[in-house]
Amino acid sequence: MGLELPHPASRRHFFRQALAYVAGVPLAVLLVDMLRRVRAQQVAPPVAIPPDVAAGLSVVEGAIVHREGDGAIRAYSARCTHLGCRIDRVAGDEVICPCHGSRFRADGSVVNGPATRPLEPMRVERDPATGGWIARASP
Amino acid sequence: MPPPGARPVFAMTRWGTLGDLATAAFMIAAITGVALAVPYDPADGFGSLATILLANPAAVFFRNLHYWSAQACLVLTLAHVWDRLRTPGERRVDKGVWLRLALTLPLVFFIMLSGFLLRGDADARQALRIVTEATTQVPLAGPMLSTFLFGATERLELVYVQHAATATIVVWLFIVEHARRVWPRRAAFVAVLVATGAVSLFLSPGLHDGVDPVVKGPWYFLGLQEILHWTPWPLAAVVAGVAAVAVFHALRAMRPDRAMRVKAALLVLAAFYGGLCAAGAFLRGENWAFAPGLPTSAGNPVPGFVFASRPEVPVPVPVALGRPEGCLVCHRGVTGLGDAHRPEAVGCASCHGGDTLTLDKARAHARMATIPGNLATAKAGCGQGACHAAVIPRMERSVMTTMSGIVGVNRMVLGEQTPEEAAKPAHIAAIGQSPADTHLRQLCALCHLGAVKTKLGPNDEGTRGGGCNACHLVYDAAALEALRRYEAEKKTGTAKAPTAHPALSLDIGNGQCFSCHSRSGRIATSYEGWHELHETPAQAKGPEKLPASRYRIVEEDRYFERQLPDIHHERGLDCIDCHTSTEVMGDGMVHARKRGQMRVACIDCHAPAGKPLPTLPASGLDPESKRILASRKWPGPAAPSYGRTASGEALVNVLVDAAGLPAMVRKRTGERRELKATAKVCVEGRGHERLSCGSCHTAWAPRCNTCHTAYDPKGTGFDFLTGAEVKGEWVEKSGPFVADLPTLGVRRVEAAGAAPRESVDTFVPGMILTVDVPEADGKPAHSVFRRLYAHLEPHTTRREVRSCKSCHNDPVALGYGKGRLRYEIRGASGRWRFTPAEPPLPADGLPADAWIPFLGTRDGMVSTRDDVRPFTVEEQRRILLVGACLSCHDERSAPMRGSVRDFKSALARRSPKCVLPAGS
Ligand code: FES
Repeated sequence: MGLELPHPASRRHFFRQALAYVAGVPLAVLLVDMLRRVRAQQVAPPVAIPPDVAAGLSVVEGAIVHREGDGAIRAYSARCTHLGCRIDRVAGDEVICPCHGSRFRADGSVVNGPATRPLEPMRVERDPATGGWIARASP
Repeated sequence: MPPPGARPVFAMTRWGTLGDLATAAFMIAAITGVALAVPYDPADGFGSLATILLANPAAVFFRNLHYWSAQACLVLTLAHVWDRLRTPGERRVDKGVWLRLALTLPLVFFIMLSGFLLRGDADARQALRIVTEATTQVPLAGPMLSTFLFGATERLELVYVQHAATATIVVWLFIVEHARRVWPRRAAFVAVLVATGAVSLFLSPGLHDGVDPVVKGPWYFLGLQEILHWTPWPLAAVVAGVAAVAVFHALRAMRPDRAMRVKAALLVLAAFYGGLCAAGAFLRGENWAFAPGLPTSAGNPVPGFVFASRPEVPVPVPVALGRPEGCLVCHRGVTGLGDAHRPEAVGCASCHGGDTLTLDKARAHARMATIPGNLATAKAGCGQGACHAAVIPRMERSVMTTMSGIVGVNRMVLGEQTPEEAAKPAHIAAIGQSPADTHLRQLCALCHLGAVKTKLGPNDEGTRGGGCNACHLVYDAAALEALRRYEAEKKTGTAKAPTAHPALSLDIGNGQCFSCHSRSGRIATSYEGWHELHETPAQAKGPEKLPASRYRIVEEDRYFERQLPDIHHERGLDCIDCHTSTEVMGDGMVHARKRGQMRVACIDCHAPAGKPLPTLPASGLDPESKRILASRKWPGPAAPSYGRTASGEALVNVLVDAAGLPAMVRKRTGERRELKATAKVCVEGRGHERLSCGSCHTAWAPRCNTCHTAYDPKGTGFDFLTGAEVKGEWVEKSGPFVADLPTLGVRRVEAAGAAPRESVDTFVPGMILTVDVPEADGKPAHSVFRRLYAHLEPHTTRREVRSCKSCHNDPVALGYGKGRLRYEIRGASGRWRFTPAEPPLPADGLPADAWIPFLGTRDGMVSTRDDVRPFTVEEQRRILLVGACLSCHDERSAPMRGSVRDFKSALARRSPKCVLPAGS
């Protein structure tokens, strides 16, 4: 189906519209670029894990921390992999997302959905200043 | 059916069409939104709304009006849409206008949702994360759209702009274009204003402070939350939403009859979605689990007259932990809690819960814990993230909570578990209803940290447990007096909350330990030099008072008699001066038996003569010890190093100076005492190396020789776990209690990093008992007889030691029970004879109080523990060989003194007159 141009006035109308779109495209591109840069600036803040963090599972700010019997520490992002809720409570050997009830094990794997992906592991480094650890979102 | 293209017939109310009413509601919401913008701060949405709720009734009214007019607008808009769709005629609407009308629907939802997000409370923060993520998941434009609408951080400023400006202006323009008028009809405006205003006076939307674990979105999205619970593809919900709008838009292009069918389908879907919303509201609870009931979460509307008289609110509003807290408006000047828990710093609700955002007493106190700190709820109070989160999991696994050993031994004794099964970790909270378990429920299940404290005041014999309170809630005189007054006022209905609060303290006195540990092994009472009597003393029945120096009455019917106290008690040491937090609160590991959790030993303070005390440098202290030291603020110089247990745990109150001299600090007072090494004799002899300190230094131990436990199916028992009376009662009858030197036996000691060794230790009759076990699980009723001794550290340590004869020539020490043990010499041969004092029990023919037969031994179940045993026959013979010498030679004589160092050579040098037992 082609464009109908019944009279000259419509042609002018067409060009005006086309011009508007042409002018709109760079603006849209700029907008997208702006938004992209805003997003790029955002990194999840590092989480400071205190040296006396409890054995077993616990929630420390935005991280789920698992401290094993031998003291080894693993950390996962507390962001639920279903829709991003912050997991803020531990239930025994599992963590449960309060929003839709996804459950995860201490190794981050899913016990039951709706989430299907395991929790995102975080990089854990010793923090000499506190004797604890710093967990950072994996790049 | 009206002809296609017919003018729609709108349902008319006396105030105009539903559309008029919706427009009026929209306008009211817009105007009140402008008013609300004054006190609202998007940088601290929750805080500013909380301040409004506490201190600004007029602003609360505007907020309510904003909220209720917005809800009305949504409902009226949907009703208007349906009203409009009942009749065909979409084609009469201009193409562009129809498109914009279709877009108005999602825009109205966006305004509603963004308004919800601006609460900034616990629900709103989770909702913001969800909508951001869901929008981001839309292919291609999703991430950009999400950033455009909600920003890339979890802040509210951008949401505020999109809510109050962008979306509101666009929708208003669409309305103007659609309704062809700028202002709503006056009648409609007044009607909606009156209706929503009336509701706003009495019903305020809640604000979720995050303490309540239930997280729910706004009511109109509860159906969506339910759908998302079921689907691993959240995008499907987005697609469904977009599809609904698209179908609505497509109606205009459809044939009228088909359009009607599609509309019917849309209606069915909308009704189904409404049902899902109701399910989300009434059937879902914490973690979106099935929990039917009325919605009670903190975000729900709260009833109460907005302009009700209220206490004077100070300026600025009291803030605790960075959040406004209404509790502090009424509960001012509360003292006694100590620095760390000052109400001005942590508020009241961080421990007690309740609604912090109201000044209405009933509402504020509705879901409050008068006694917080019980283990079941401690995670929300003491154990919340910023406070003592690391401690609660430890406590949950501590043997003081699980009673694992008691559960296992009890089942083993009653024949329900093999020793191997009983050696596995168990938990008192998970026991069942077997005879053994009901026995425990009725007789033992009150003494554990998980027991719920329900009575105000210090723990005593009547109230035990209470989680953190069990140890850390400390009443001083002022708090006790305030409590007494409060209880008295309660009776007259004039009670005002006391302002002298008990302390939450590290200074835990012996009284805290007493209520549980004055039972069973009775270490708390023995330590202080009190021995429980089985009979009420005759004097107690007379008119005179029992002399307090000789008798102590506990719980009105337990009589204790004076005995020698522990030397450490005499020197002023509290239980906590020796016992560490790990021993009480646990180390985070699950232990089947208490011994797994115990750490301290005598030699951690009293170094073996000639050896230094094992220490830790101050720099190597663990963080918890450092924190404890920092909060203790003991006077005197800091120590370069600290004592440590064999497993490496720091003893923060054992200070070792640069010269290596150790001192103990009394934790509660800061007073220092020099620590002495052991006597030389403890380490130099041969033959006594295996002896624990307690085998010599224990002055006495409480012994209860026999008991009989029976189940009376007709009686009424009390189940301490459920706190309810039950049919069938366990009744215990015990024999007399005596205070006597303990029996000795052998314990296998396993320490990390060292080979297992054997230690001669102190024992008392643990269970010489007959249990009449009722019928259960097809097993007929039967009797169980056990003869078990228990390892006990009686906590009656003295500097002076028991005599040589009290071990080597004593039938109780050897495990034979009371009686006459004598060494008889006939000519050149000697032999030991024993005449028991107690008659033999029919069950096994041994004297009632014996552990083993005279010069015999027993196998199998001989103790409540699996790492101990009585002496073997060979060991008894060796002990009695020395006893034979002692029957002629005084223990202070030169030959006997010499024999302590080297018995073999002393024996070799014996005189020809000496007669050794036959066979030695
Ligand atoms: S966001 Fe966690 S289950 Fe949905």
